[in-house]
Amino acid sequence: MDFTLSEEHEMLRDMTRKFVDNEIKPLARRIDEEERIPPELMDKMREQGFFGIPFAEEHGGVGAGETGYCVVLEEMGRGSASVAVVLAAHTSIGVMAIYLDGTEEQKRKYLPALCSGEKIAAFALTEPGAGSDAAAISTTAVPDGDDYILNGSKIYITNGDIADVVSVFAATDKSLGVRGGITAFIVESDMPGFSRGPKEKKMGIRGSGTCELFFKDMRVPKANVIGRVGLGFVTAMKTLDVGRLSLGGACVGAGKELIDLSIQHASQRVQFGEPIIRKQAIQWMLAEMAADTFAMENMVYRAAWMCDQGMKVSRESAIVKMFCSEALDRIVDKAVQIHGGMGYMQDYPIEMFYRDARINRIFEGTNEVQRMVIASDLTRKGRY
Amino acid sequence: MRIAVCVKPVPDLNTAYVSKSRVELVEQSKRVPNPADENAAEMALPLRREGDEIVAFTVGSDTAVDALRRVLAMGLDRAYLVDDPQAQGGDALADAKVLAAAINRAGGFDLVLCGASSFVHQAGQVGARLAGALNLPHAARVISVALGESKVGVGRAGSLGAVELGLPAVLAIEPGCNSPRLPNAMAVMKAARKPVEHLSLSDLGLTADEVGEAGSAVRLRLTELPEA
Amino acid sequence: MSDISAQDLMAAFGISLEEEAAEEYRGVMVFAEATGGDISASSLGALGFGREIADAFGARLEVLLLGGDQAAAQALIRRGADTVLLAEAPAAYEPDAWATATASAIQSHKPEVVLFGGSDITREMAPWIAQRLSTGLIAGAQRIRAEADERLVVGTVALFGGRLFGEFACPEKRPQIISFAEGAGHIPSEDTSRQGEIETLAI
Repeated sequence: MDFTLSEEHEMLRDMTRKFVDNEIKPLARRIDEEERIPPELMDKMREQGFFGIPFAEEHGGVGAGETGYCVVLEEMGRGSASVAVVLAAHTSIGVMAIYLDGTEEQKRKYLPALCSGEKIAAFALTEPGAGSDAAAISTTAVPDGDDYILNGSKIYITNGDIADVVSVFAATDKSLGVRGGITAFIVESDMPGFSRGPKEKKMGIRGSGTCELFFKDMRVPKANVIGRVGLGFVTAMKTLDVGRLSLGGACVGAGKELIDLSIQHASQRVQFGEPIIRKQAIQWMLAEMAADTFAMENMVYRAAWMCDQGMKVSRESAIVKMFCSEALDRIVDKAVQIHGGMGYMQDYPIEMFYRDARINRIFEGTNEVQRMVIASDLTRKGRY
Repeated sequence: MRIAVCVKPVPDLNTAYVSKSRVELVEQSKRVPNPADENAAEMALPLRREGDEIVAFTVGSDTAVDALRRVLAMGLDRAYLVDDPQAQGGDALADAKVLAAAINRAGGFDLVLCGASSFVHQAGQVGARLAGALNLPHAARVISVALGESKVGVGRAGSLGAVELGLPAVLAIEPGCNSPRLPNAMAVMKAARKPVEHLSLSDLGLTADEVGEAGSAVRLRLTELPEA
Repeated sequence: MSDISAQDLMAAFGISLEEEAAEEYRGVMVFAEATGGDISASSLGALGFGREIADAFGARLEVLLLGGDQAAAQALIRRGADTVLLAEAPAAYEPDAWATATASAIQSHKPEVVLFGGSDITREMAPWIAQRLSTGLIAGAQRIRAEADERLVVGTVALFGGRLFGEFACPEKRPQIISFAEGAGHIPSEDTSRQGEIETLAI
């Protein structure tokens, strides 16, 4: 088995790392405090081609596949979870729904501007009454001539504040629930009836914008249906399958960065006559952080490889999302502890990593939902 | 116009480390371009006009391809790698001979650029040696280039100031004189598809005793750590 | 006897062409750059090293002077040169003319060791000369020492910005050319009683 990444992927990693070191890390604290990504940084990211990494070149993408995308997100995760989340919500769920289930015409119309980052995407599934219980969606889509009329609202939508194109899931037949009752739509933010709520104030990933979206008698052309009418839930699940992988990628990067920072700190911090890195308590924490990171790294790239091979990755991506989010929480906790009081102070990035990590167990499908997905796969197959 | 850029593959100091107890650089297999050679590539790129070609030349083993892909990602068009095992391990004399032979074989270059020194050994020789081997005028420690029809005006760091050379010429580019561009993701993917041609000694018309260790004049006898 | 070729003779006595060629090279040459009567400090530093090597080898010390005048030549003799070769080359540095003149002087005088002080001029010239003469250059040496039995000069060079030092030598090819890092070497003191020769070198 050849576990090495291709030349292109290694070069993507190097390039992204340099970009993160030079352009993102110096701004990470400011992004957290100002609760936004500076427009100049967004522009530089566009120039670097970061908004189209996994998508085929024929659609205006970079053509690096899921693996290349995980590499890029890993490096982003070392610098700023806020930036990584903005990129991920755009790429691996917002655009991905159109990429996976869109018609050729929809792809031609929407993908080039999305891949270049000229337009930003979001994925709007969650509602106040429909979080894990996606079947309880109450945004309605009623056919009217050549269009559907959408009414309802979505909550906690990442990139909701800046998105130009939103993949929206609405009920075309409430009585059918997830089996045949939900349809996916490409919605443009300048469609009459579309509005955004104020940005939420969050514990972490404060640089990414999260807000409500409101649809009031919003007309969406029938041509904007993604996939098949009534099969929107399938589109959502397909998209989330891929999206969850990349979340793991960002967790790997954060894990590695935290280990490096913790080693540096522990090598310099002298207590009881020697650097604390010589103390077994610290060494064992570092060892466990490394084991968790190695595990995350391997499962992310194995699942990314499967995805690029065209294999179904529902169970694997659920495992990746569940494991990596929980592993990262263990890692950030140890990192804070190793840094002691400094781990709690905003002078250092550690506390930001800690706050940023917590959302991973909740969004993109709570870890409880991931466990449901994994268990249901096991019981269906009758074995591993 | 055709521009040649000579690239020396060096260990990536981000992934390699010098072990405190051993007087050797613990080498990683990854090779990156010598930083001054990236400055040379960055010097060449804005000079390109429609139809021009910028070509990289390297002597190294197959790990040198990593270094070449990086300058290809910056925007160079193609590369030649002399990876004949007998050509490896040469000193500046032998390497200049090999590079000159490769450049002559590809032929027709108006400018030959290289980094003025490597971060391994700061007292650079390759540029001036190449000029000697190619029988071309040269300038060292170049910080700016103004290209004319048949001449090139260069600014030099240090005490020497500006000079004008007839084309074709060899320019040794001062490390740090510019900011080598960071390729974007599209350029990275494209670089993987750009041609890298492998050259052997027989392609170059050289014999084993002229190149590599056999063709070297200077030998490293020992290394030592600086006094504490 | 007359039918035996030079090669056969050499083979019979176990002398290789390279060794035989090496024996043709004798003496130490130091390159000195000057502006009129003013000799550069780097050249004087190289002269200091040159005197040490010449003494260790029991050889003559020649200084090739470019850009300098009679006064400079005499100063060089006072500081240790046995012979000063006043090259007929442009008074101000011209890359082509100076490099060609220097290479030509080396080719005609065949020193076994050539030393260059560390300057922008020698950085530009010395490697070109070494390539034309198909010989080695130990560049940027901090210091050198003689291994008199082998008539070898060993140069110590800083690597990786000084994280490591390497000792280099040029065992076979001649001349052995060494250039110094800027500021290396000590300037020899003046001895007004020293005698020496000054030759004009036509190029």
